[in-house]
Amino acid sequence: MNILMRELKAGLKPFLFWSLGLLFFIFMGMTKATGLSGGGGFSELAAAFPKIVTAMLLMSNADIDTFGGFYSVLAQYAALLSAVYAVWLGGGAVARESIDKTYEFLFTKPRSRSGILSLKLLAALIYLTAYAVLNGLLSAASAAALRLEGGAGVPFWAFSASAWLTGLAFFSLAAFFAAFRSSAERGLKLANAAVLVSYALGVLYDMLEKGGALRFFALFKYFLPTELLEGRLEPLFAALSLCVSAAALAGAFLSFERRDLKAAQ
Amino acid sequence: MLRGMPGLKGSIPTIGAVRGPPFILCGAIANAEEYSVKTVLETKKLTKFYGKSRGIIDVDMEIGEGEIFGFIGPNGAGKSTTIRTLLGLIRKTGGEARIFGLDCEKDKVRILAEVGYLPSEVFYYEGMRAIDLLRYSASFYRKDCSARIRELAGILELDLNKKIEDMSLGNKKKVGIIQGLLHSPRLIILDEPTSGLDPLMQRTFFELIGRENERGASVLFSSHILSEVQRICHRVAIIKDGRIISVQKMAELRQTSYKKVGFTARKPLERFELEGASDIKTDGPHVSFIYRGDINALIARLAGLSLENLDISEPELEEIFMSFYSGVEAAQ
Repeated sequence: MNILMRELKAGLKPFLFWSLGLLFFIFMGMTKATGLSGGGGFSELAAAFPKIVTAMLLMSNADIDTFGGFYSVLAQYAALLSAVYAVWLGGGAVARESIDKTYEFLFTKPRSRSGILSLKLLAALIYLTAYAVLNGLLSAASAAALRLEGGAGVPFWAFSASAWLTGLAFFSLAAFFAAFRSSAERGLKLANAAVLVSYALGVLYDMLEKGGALRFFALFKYFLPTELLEGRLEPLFAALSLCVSAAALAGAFLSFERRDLKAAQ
Repeated sequence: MLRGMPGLKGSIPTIGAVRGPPFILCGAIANAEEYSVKTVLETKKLTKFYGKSRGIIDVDMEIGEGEIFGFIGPNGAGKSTTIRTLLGLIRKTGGEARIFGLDCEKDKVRILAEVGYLPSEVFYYEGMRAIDLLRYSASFYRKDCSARIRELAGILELDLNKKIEDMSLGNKKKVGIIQGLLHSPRLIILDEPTSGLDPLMQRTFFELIGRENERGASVLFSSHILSEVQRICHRVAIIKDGRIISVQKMAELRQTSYKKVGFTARKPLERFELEGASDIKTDGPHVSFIYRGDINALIARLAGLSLENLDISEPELEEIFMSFYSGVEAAQ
């Protein structure tokens, strides 16, 4: 329990930093919606862009003349932010002691490696969950405060839950990469690359008329905005993201138990 | 049942009757004429490779209960690798390592409850005061360590309310010493412990370790400074290139302690010979060599010469190794 409390304390300042960023991003984004959702023909403008541009801006198939469509784009950006934070949390839980060179202090205490890692990951997961909850609450509160038309009908919880599930997958993958690679720093770079590759695969999926099986490899496309606006988390992909997370976490524990602990270069 | 380790079952193997020399502790003769014979730490052919790179090879070592065991070797010889393998920080490639009769990997948690460790460099969490760090460290042990923390801080003259990041290297080291000793461990593992400590504090530190030893704690003392090891240890293992090349009792080592000798004679010498002298270099009147033997024999030999200058100092460890190897080659 002492480890959990220390990890929560250590993670509080970064969490507040990330939360402030999220607050600023969502609130500022929502203020733009006051101008966009009045039927200004922004969808037509977006349609004039090359397909790759709309895909890269995560605006494919989004009716941004409506608040729901606009929010679905904003929520995808928030999910990207959440994924980056998740990588920082998951990879950091594994690698932080090596990077800060404090591993000789903690891992010579009478606790098992798995026990220590469990508590570190639990603390990180608490922050990831709090971030997802905050995402939903801030979105709903901003929509209410700005009295945005159609705001009441958007299932913010679904977007928030999808960001959490996607974040959890990246969180677990980052923990695995950091534990699996002999250099924790390289593991973290690999985890960040995974976010980038998933984003690129998502762009490719949006560009293709029929993405098909590509969706299984593009974590950001497990939960499509059109489905989320209907308040629906696709059960198959929800289960799949949980399976990816479970497998990656199991791999992280196994690798961490076997690895040599040393200071990051 | 092992003493001081509730819940541990099994017997401690013994290493036979070991009679240790009295050890010199800051000029005083400590009461350690005979230390216990139970084996606290034992390695058999302990080997560690980092990929293809050598860490340690076939390290055999035994430390008796109540013994202060020196572990000396140049940088990169394998001292820290051995210690980190014993502590379960890195995984052995082969061989066996046991502490209190328990396997260092399988029974790591039970072993670490009774081990105190001071690494060569100490790194702690940002924003923590010394007292916060020490309380956190104490929370891992099933005993109240607060009185002990205050006692040790008093001995080492450490301000516990200061933030660690604002401390000097020496004070950070003191925090490390306290966190390694606060739970009164049965085995203390010290990896280059005196770096960063001023001479006065080194003296206090050695006294502290002496007291811990009198209490019954065994000590594995790793260093690359021979005089430190000579000052406190009962026995010493010399490691080079990952292998233990010699294990000696300090009494034997002290009897045959190495000296680096250099002198300038009034007249050039054609050759200089002395039993126990190795690596002899003669350049006209200037002569230098490493001497291992009775110091009186050296003085007697030099008294027969007319000298302009004489310098007798402690050799670098590398020079001792050179001398050691040349001795081995000469014997062959």
